[in-house]
Amino acid sequence: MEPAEKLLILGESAKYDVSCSSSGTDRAGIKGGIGSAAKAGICHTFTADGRCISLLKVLLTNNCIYDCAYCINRKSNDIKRAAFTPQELADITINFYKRNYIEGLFLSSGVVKNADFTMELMVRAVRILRQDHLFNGYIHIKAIPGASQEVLDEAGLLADRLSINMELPSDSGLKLLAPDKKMADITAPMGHIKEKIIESKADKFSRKSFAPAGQSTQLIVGATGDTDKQIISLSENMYTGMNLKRVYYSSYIHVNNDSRLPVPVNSPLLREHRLYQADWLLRFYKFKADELLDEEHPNFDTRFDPKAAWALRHMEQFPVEINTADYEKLLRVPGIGVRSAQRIIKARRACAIGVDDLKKLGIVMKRARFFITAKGKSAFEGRFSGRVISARLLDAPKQRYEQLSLFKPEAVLLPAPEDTLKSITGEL
Amino acid sequence: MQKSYVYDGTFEGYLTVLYDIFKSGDEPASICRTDTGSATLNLFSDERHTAAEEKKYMLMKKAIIEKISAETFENTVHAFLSEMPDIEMHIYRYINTGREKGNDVNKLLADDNVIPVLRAAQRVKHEGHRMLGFVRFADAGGIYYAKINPDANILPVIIPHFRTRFGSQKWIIHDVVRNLAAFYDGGKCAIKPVESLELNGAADDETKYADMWKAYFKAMEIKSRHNSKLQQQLIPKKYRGNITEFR
Repeated sequence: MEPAEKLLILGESAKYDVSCSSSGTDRAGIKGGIGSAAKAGICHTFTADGRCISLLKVLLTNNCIYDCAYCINRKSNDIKRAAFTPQELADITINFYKRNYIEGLFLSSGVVKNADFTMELMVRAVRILRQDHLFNGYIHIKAIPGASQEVLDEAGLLADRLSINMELPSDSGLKLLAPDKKMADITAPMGHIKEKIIESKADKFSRKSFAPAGQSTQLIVGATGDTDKQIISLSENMYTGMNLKRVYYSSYIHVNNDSRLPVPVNSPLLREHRLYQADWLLRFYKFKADELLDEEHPNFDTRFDPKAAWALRHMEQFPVEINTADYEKLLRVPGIGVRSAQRIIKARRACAIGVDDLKKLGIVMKRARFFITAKGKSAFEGRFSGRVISARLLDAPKQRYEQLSLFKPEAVLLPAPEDTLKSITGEL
Repeated sequence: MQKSYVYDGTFEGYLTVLYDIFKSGDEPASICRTDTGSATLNLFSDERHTAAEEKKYMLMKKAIIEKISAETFENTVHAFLSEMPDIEMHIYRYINTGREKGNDVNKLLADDNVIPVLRAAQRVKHEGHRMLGFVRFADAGGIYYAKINPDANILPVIIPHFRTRFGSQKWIIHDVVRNLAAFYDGGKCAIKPVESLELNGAADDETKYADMWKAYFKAMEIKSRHNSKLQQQLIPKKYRGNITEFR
């Protein structure tokens, strides 16, 4: 089989992986080599579904000994199979990179023979890239559950980032849908990688850093009955307990017919979108998982973003006076993101900000105006009450979709393109 | 009578003009580059043509950095590269405000003398960052050649990135809107005006890799989530003529 055909098959098999980030590394390059890692990630192109392609995302092989219910590459599926030799994959990567098609490589794989055998092949491809092609660009290796510490250690010294997929939010889900995988096979290597990263950071004299861009993971959402609260609490644990850089959520895509799997429901994308919004709130807005959701509200509101939903339940903390509120308070105002909060703080040092100044500052007032005052003045006309405001907040999207019939609820619930963009940039 | 200034279109020329203006202490009527024609000039004002002078340029640059701030100089450079209409007068007002307020000028986010420059600078930085991803090289037999058609004159903004990334590779980035090209020979880099660029052939495997990339790009779409509106927002059509996977 020609490498071009392999690339198609193995790219196709890898595309359901959501992570594509290439940021946050500070590894020193090989002298005289090619490539660099940009501190802020770079998107090289966008597919027709609007996803960024930054890395060459590909499997080494889609042969697999496992039979996970949700996976397109499971062994019981009758699909075209292919496998790169490490050399072929390294050559394609370097040639794409030299033409500036990509920022680096995101390498994952089906499992052949066993975890270690597979990972050794992956490591070999990456070693050819680093040592023969003197490649200094970004590499993300997806570790295989159950891999030994030795092979993880090798991978960590070559890659910028390592990740192991959690796959499903709960052990019971794993037992049902991925019976060959055990939670311990996932958490043990994760813990080992965490320790190695801490060790490597502490060792100031070592020239080789271990996965300098950190560790991440991915969860499939909607394939099991787990609530948003369970998922977001798990993410919080991952961030605090495992020091993960990112948790990615992939709304379940129906590729196999299997009685264990749920029937596809409407708007899984909206749920994924809400989880990403909540994830930003955990990482950059200092929210706790149990603030966002509780026993009474185990799932995110489809109508409001998680921050607005939280604010509507906590009207006693609003309105916030933008000239005096501290940074943390500003961040909790719906519609004010990290950038807006920073701009407000910068601008008010020069002089007090009035309502009219906010627009000039580039603050999006669509949601924010209901929750703030400027120089004591309210930014909207109307009564300050949760009921009034939630009705007004719902007003705008209704107009946008009023042409749609009630029988197409999924169309109404799709996030608008600008909202999807926001979940990438994190301006909530 | 208020003076109208005409300069040679270079950044050095522009700072030379600013130097003259601040030296004279008079408010200028307009500042235009020679190639945009004097049609926009006020007929009743005194017109002055200025050529770039190294000494005045350096003095002006130093004055901005030392008396206002390095951030202000950076914003000036970026805003100038935007080539937006009247950007010269906007920058003049911005620096004039800076002479009074110092580096606080960059905090006056609601001041009409400041907003246009900060917005222009922001736009140029944004387009520059996008271009880091959108530039596409083709191997023309040992030299990697790329064409771009940006809104702003972003070559100076993106060159440092490509020098670091492809330091051991010869390359040319050609801005076909401005007929300018950055030539990098593996050591030095220079931006030169070019009329047309003849390259001798392509590497044997050039089409092979371009085709592989195109096919891969197409295969990466998740069809059930098709959203070309979002795609268009993220990678505007105007750039696509020079982007391999859209050709």
